[in-house]
Amino acid sequence: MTDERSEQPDFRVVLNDELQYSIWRADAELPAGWRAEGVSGTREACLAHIDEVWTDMRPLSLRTEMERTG
Amino acid sequence: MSTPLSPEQLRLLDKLLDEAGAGQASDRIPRRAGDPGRAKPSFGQERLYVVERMQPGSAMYVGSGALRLRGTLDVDALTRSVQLLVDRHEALRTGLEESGELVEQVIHPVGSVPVRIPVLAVTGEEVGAQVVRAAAEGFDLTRPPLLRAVLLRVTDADQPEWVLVLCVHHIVVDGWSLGLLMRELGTAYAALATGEQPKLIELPLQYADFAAWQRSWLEQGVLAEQLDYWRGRLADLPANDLPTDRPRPVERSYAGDTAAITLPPALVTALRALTDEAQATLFMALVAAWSMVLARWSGEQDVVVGSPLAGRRRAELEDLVGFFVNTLPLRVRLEQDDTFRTLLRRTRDVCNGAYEHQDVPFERIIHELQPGRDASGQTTLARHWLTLHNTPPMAFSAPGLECEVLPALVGTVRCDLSVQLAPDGEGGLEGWLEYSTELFDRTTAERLVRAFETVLHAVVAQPGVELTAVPVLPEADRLQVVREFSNAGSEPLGGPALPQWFEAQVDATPHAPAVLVDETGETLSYAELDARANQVAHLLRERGIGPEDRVAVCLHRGAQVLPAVLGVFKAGAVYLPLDPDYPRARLDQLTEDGAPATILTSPDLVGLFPGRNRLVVSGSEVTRQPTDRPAPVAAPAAYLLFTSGSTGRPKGVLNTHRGLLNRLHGMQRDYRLGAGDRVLQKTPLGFDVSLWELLWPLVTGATVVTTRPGGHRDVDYLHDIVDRREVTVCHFVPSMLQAFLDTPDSGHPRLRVLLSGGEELSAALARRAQERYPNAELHNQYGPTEAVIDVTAGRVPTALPPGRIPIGRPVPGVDLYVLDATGRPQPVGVPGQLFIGGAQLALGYLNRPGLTAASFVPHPFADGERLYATGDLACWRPDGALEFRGRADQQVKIRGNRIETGEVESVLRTHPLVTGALVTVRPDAHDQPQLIGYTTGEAEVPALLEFLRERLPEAMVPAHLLVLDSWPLSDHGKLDLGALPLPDGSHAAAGPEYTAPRTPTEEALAAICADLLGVERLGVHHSFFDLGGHSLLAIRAIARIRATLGVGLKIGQFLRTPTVAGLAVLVDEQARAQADGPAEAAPIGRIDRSKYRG
Repeated sequence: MTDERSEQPDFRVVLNDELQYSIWRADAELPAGWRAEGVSGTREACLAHIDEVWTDMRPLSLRTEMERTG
Repeated sequence: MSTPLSPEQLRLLDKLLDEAGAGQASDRIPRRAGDPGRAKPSFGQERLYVVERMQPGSAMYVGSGALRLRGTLDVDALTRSVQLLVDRHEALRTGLEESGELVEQVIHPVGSVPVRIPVLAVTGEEVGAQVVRAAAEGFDLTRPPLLRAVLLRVTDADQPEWVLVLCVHHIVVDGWSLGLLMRELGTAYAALATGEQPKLIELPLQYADFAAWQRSWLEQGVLAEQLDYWRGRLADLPANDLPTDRPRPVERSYAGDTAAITLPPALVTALRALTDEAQATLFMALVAAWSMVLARWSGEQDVVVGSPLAGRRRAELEDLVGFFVNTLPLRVRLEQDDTFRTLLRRTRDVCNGAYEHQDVPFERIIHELQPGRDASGQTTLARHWLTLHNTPPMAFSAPGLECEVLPALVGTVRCDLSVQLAPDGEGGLEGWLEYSTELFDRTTAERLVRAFETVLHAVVAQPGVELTAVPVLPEADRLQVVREFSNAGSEPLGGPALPQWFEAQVDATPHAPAVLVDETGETLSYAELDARANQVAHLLRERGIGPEDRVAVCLHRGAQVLPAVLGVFKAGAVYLPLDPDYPRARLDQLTEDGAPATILTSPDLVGLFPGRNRLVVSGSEVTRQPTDRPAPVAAPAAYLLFTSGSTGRPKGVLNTHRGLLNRLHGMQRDYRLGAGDRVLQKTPLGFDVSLWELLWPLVTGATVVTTRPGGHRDVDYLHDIVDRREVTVCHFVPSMLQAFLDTPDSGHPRLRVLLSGGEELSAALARRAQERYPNAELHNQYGPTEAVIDVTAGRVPTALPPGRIPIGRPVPGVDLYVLDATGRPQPVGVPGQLFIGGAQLALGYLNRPGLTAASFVPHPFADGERLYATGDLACWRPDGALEFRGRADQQVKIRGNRIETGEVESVLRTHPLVTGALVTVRPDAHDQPQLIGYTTGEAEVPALLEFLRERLPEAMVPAHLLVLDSWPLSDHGKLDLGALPLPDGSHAAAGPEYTAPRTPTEEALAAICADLLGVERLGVHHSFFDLGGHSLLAIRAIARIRATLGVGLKIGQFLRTPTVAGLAVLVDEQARAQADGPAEAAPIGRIDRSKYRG
């Protein structure tokens, strides 16, 4: 029984409209305002993927604003 | 009171008995031989005897019932009827006595135990109170009958009306017996009132026969076999502990109350349909649902429900009065994919297995498993019970009388929580949750009842849904925490950007003092400060530095800091503080990771950063810049602060201007800073509190008073500066506040706001601060670096309620949630991880996308938003304030007890000679977690251990205690955990090392205990219970100690101090007291043998 509980659940990579990344339990319904990015797997694998793809960590609204004012 | 089996249980049992073959049933219980007046007790009686010895005369195990009788009552016939029952059932003529080291049943002969029924005249209104009063009285177990009847004559009723109250000690009856007694009483009264002889079935056996048979039968192998089963079932039990509203008291009074439960007929019908399908019983469905509630509250997916079984597996026992009932620990595990259907089937198997192994007395299971006991000596094995009574508990009928059973009045409980249900006569179930009022508030009990009802309604509606999706909180309770308490939807406070907010203040009060530098006495006016900050900003702009660029500030506290910080903000850049006191290697790391565009510093520090872009703030490059204001620039990110990471590499947290503005406005709304205020700036710049110390006064017209470098750790200097500079607002980390209060001072009459944060504020410390500074409001705050400064705040009330000090409520613009491991909101009072949302949330960790994604998670209640997972435990209080419950990784389980180190600390702090306490967890030699305690003050280790043992369960007493001269503090003034000394073994409290007895008393005690435990030798620090001792052996030990040393210890004393060393102190103390005055321990009363013979 402890084995079952220590077994890590799967996660998936999710992102919101600000293009901010996070992870969410694969077996749970997606939270409102977030979509699946496509990648799923262990927590570590998902985080490693995010390390690769999330290159501009600024929220989208902020990037737009900086480009407009800058 | 315990209960008979439900009809379903009986049916099932019959089936099991059939399957088990006729062997048992034909093996009839014989009448016992030997002394008719003395007999061994049953196992159950032994257990209750021990409990009684711990709380002599307690009403905890007194069962009672009340009947309202309308009509003509023949009081004499009623008295004779009760007398008849006492003569008929040996158990009602039995007392319990100690004989040498043993406990015996002493059975008094027929006719020698007279019954009297006092009659009291009362008004209808007084009935309730009188019933409670009768039930609240205990018994002297040596003096039967252990039954008491009181007749209340209601004086103001329309027709003759009586209330009969019957109270019996559980050691001679059980719930079944009470029902039986009522039936027989009705039969006897009906006959006697009409002048006839009552016809009652002749009893083939008496209770003592059962007790003798039970012992011999069980010892023939049944016991060993069934114990094996339970050992397997109950291995590796979880802590089985619900969060309580108050800490468990050492001396429990078992005061209790009830909260009503109603399960309507439609619900029960639907449950029955589910149980039929699963070949289970209604009882099993109730256990499954109750387990879901317990799992949700305890956070364990593995729970134990105690349930009484009638214990009358043989026909010849059915008409006997006596204590047969046995409690069985039903261990129910919830698996990840469970639906209610699968859980019900598993519960069914658990119950069936338990029924097949129901003969082992509960007490033997406890001895066998040594699950640990709480401070009062009560077992931790089954703290939460569920009972389904099959009939209304009592039925009484008599000619000429109209009878009505009065609702049960419970004044005591025997466990923490107990669900009691019975048929309501219309197809539903009704009853109540009995709860210990020492542990739980009524609101909590009612919340648990609502949860139980919610679960039942939900599972009958959707039995195939996964349990994680089954609501345990009713919608109203859920909304209260996620909408109301959470502060969800709170609009952020805002206004002009920070530089323009400050500039507006400059325009309003250009000549007011903005900064007062204590070291030099130098003052900068608002206008002067603005001008210097403008110069810094112009230079940065000239260098092409602007929004999103980091600018480090590395300066000693003084006149240069504020122009630099404000200059960075005016330029739109991101402020990165670097504490010049940091070690070189850390500074290198921070400049490496933070990659500042430039470093604003001073001539003496410029050498710290060779090869980097640097600017000396006092240098001519700055001072030749114009002093007018640069044009405003939009900047999202405000500051970058580094915080320690678990991997050792610091994490840079990027916080926003929006959050900072929100926080400063929030502080101003709550604490109203103004022109006369002086705020002490003593916090090192690397700690986010320094941000408001610097900025909040400057947007409100107040003055920043900066301490000399290093001054923040010098309490004498701090007391001095507070007085000399007339400081009105000041912040302390509790460790530092402690040190501050340890030094005498003037009482700081000007101090009006005292803020505490960064660590848990203990009640003792808060009280000291409030007593010392009666003019100052004390506020407690909480917030991680990952959100701007503080996310909760609350004033500490001057009349401190008992318990922990809350960290306050969410500040404006911030929403907070307490969630379980699967992201569901925790009920009020149940700790979970604290999550932060709203305006003060950081953007993330600089250049650490994976780490950011792991810590800033999707907001389950607000579209597309994020929450920061703090890793801290907290719980909601019923008033909507939050309580901090430690780090999620600082919870520890020791010998099956879930322990919060904070609880041990708070007890240590109540010792009058302790000025500070900390308890940490470290692995011992066998890699098991053990507690290490640290204290400051005058108290010595042996006295402290003694003090703790009197107040805490054994598992909560640290294995090692160390007394420190002072606390090692980090640069931020927080406690430096890494610098705490490790125990060297010299203070081992419960270690396995053998220490030989050192005094004659210890020698005698060690010999007694070793002999009883069957061990060759016993060290003076070994726990009697760790070596196989149990409460009955303890009673024997007490008897031997009385015989050998002439001192009568109480069982409670023994349970709390179960080592030779501890007992020796008690024995010596008591021996001295006895020598000084009259004997304290009176011998236990005995009945006069000669009277018995007569």
